[in-house]
Amino acid sequence: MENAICIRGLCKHYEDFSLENLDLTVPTGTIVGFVGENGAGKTTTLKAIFGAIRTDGGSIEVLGCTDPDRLDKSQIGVVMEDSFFYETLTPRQVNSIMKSLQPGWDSAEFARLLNDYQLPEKKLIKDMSKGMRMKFRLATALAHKPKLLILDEATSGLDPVVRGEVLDYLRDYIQDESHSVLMSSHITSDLEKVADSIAYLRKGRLLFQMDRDELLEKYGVLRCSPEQLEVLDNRLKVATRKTGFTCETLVSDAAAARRALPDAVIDRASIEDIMQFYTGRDAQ
Amino acid sequence: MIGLLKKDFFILWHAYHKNLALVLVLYSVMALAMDLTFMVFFFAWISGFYILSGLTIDNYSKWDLYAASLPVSKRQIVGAKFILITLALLISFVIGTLLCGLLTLLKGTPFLENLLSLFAVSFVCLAYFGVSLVLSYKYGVEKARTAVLLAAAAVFGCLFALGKLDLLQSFALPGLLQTLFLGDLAIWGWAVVMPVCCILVYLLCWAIATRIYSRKEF
Repeated sequence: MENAICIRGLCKHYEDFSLENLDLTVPTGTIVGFVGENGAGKTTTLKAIFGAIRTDGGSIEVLGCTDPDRLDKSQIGVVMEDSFFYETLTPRQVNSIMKSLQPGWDSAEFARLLNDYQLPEKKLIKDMSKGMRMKFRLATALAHKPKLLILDEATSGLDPVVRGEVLDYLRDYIQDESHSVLMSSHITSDLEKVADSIAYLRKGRLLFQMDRDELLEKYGVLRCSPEQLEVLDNRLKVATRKTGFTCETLVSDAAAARRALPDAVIDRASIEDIMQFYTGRDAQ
Repeated sequence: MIGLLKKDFFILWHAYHKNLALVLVLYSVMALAMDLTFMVFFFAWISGFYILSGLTIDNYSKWDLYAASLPVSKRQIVGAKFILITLALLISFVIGTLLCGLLTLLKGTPFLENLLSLFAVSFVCLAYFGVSLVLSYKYGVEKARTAVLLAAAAVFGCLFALGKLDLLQSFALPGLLQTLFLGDLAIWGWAVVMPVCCILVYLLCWAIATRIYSRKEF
């Protein structure tokens, strides 16, 4: 299977928001970072992938299946930001429940994950810290060894050490090239560490999906005077911020900008920079 | 399906086991010490509400969205709630039967008469909670609870008022119903026809609730 997820022309309309012609691909054996501002449509897209909402147009192929009613959900693991088991359950009880719900549930793997994440199996979810709860959700999503992992803000609330551990786990998880991850996160630095490609959703539309290295290499933040900026081809300028006598401009081709303005400073653009410049451009 | 039943059992047990014990003791004491036989029937009513409150808990934890990611069908999710209601009413019936026995032993109340009343109340509750589940899936638990309670209060209020005013008899029931529920065959009417009707209502509600839930988005 070439792609774990292949979305073409996805549309979903609500009264106050629409997803429009979204194309998104998660190649098998990769991690795709899904970024966008709050309300951009990330969660809506993730819900559409596992069939929690109906779509108004387009196609979604998940693990080779195009019919959400026939999707083998035992092959996917999902962590949603705010939906899970009720907080008066314990990991031990969740294990008992999931043994009956998930055909491939592996109690030994679940116990190992709980141990790795230092989660007591008799502790109520409500007595866990935010970080512990998130780790517990991850453990629950991983214990049946799914082929596809869908994570919605799964690293939010985790301290840097634990986030690092989770990211390491995800790297290991895709090592055999048969597992795939689609991960939405506001912590873009995490995605820069683990994602193979980045998909940027803005106001219900996909601005781009690019290979991470290519993206970080291609975009740049140009710092120069307004006069210098005038010289630059407008097609290279994504958005500009004026700070005193200098301008900061996100350029869509750092190499071309460097050739046009050899004396100007062009820094590497992070995913966060790219998002902020795009947001600023739309605000203008 | 078993997993869904386990989930609700663990959650409801944690939430209500103390309340359940208190209600059981209180109602039993009231029935036995204060000669309030009808308290025996209240237990069926209460047990259904425990299960309905599971829907509120599900909403709170956005369980339905999470469940949509699991290999369980929407039919199974709805089915688990209906099975739980049935189990809760069965358990309350067993407890009620024991209390009826105690009442007979201690107070000399007619066992069969109480048992038949308990039997009828349990089936009315079955239909009541079936309708409640349908409305809960359609409009949400809070609105449904109020709507069903008001509807039930209106129906029973009207019957009570008509009875008080001696007007009930003036409503001409079809002959068959007269015979079944008020005449010589009343025992068959209340013990067989009414339960069968309640079960049919319950099964119909089950089918409608499944249809409503299948169309839902989370």
